[in-house]
Amino acid sequence: MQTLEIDHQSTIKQGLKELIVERLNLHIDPASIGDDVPLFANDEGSEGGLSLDSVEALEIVVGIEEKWGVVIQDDSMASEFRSIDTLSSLVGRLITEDAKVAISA
Amino acid sequence: MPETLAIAAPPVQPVLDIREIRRLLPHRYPMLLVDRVESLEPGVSAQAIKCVTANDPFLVGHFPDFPVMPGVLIVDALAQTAGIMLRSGPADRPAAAPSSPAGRPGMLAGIPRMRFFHPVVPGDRLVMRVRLIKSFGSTHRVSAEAEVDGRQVVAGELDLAS
Repeated sequence: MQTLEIDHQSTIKQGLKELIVERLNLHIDPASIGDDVPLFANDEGSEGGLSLDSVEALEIVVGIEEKWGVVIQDDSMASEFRSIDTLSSLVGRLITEDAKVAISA
Repeated sequence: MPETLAIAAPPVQPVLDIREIRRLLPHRYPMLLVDRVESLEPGVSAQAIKCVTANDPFLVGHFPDFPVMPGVLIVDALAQTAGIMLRSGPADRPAAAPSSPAGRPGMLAGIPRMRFFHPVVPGDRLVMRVRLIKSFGSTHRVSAEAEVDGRQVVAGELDLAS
């Protein structure tokens, strides 16, 4: 069960990196994006990151919603939109919540 | 029996007339490209009109012998319609003045997708419809389309930033 959970998260992380590179037309290898590197400008230590802006954040939000069929609330911005690590736990949580709703429905 | 002129159905009562549009948008001549708002659900959707006339200044050079409304100006007219939708805000929040920082939602930040199907020419009544797809932080994605006489002339998506 523990291993499954880790596999799940790494699949989400890989999917996120591919989604970001594809939707933002970045000319980089998805695997080159570090899991804990700040994605957005103005974050602490963002110099080494991708320095994405708010329009690119919206593109990622729309991409995640289409890819995983989840809804990201407008207030998720600050803490969960930081790195691949934080984004993947957000996506994982949203998928799990959806699954629970589906089971209880 | 006297001939009767065919009279079209009376126009839809404007939700916002040009004076009210000027209060919501900072645009002025020659860049104010919305004449009338026909329906408005603040922060959700809007339908607005731009009547194209041979006197429109952009037609002087686009093109002298073949007047066609520039596609980028149709895009801007749609962005202005979206700006009105966003600026009018949720019903519980009064609209901010265009000059205030809070009153600036509506800067065009991206054109993820836009296609042009037919030229828009003098005499055309451009019916523009916008609908909010998603807001995230200070950025908003809207679906936008316009038609003339029931025929779609342009359709796509726009990103606007506050």
